[in-house]
Amino acid sequence: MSITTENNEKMITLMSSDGEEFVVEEAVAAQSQTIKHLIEDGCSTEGSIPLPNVTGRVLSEVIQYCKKHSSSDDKEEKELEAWDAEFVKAADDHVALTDLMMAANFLDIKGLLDLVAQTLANMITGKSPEEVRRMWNIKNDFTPEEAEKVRKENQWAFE
Amino acid sequence: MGRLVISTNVAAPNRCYLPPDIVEEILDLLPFTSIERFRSVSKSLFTLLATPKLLYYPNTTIFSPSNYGCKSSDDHGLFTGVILSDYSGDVRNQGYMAPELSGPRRYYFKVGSCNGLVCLRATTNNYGKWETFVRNPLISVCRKLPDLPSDNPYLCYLAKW
Repeated sequence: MSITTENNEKMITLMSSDGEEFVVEEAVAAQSQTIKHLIEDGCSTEGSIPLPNVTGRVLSEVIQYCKKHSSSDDKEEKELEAWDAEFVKAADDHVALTDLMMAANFLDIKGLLDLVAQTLANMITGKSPEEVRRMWNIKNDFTPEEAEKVRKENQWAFE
Repeated sequence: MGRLVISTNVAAPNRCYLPPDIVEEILDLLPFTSIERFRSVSKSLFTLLATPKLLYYPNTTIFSPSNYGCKSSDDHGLFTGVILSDYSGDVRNQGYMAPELSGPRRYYFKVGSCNGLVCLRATTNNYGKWETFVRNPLISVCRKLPDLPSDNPYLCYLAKW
């Protein structure tokens, strides 16, 4: 549904996969290239835009990010960086960050995608292969012989 | 009397998984040594990290083609072939490198050499973190140096003198 506020800003309704509705300004929603294209194609004129891949919990975080980034201009870069750092810190573990990253990927919000990817990369940089497997339930599908061969090749990186 | 300990942190098996379409976004940002280590995580990661993804530094005057990763075996035995790309990003030829430094997603240049040791800077891509290595080609040993306070390649370039 498109509603208009007093200052004539067009509002967009987004619906999460679990049926939660979020009413946001068009400029905020358009931080997402996916939504921007949907709006351009006229998908927002009737009812809400359904986002089947994003839960309400994640969507509310994404909207927080988009609000902040649509209201700040370049002069506030330093402040924005500090805000970003706090934002990913609040997401606190790799599960929440992975959810956020999937949403940023689906919604095509480059800034958010880069921010979360960097946070996850920093998080796993010092980790062992076993720790990385545990974080994302990755199965170690090497045979013992293969594992030994790979380990030998990369021995120096474990020192 | 025994105490009842309640932990909020038990059970709830971790169901998180890393979808293939975002894996690369993260891997691209990892430093050099982590990439090497993570090749042993699983076969799919191994394949992903073993797929050549050559990147080049945009036209810049500080790197001359001679220190642009294109090296032959006469260069202190660092590379045993010609690798990587020229300024246009085209791959001219591929060859073999010292095993510690071979692998995909690499971009590096030689800082300098002295007393038979070679110093070089390497990164995983244009945006990745630069790391500094010293290699002794004679005994084929490569060591990573502590990180520089800045990622500015000039710092390292100047250190040559």
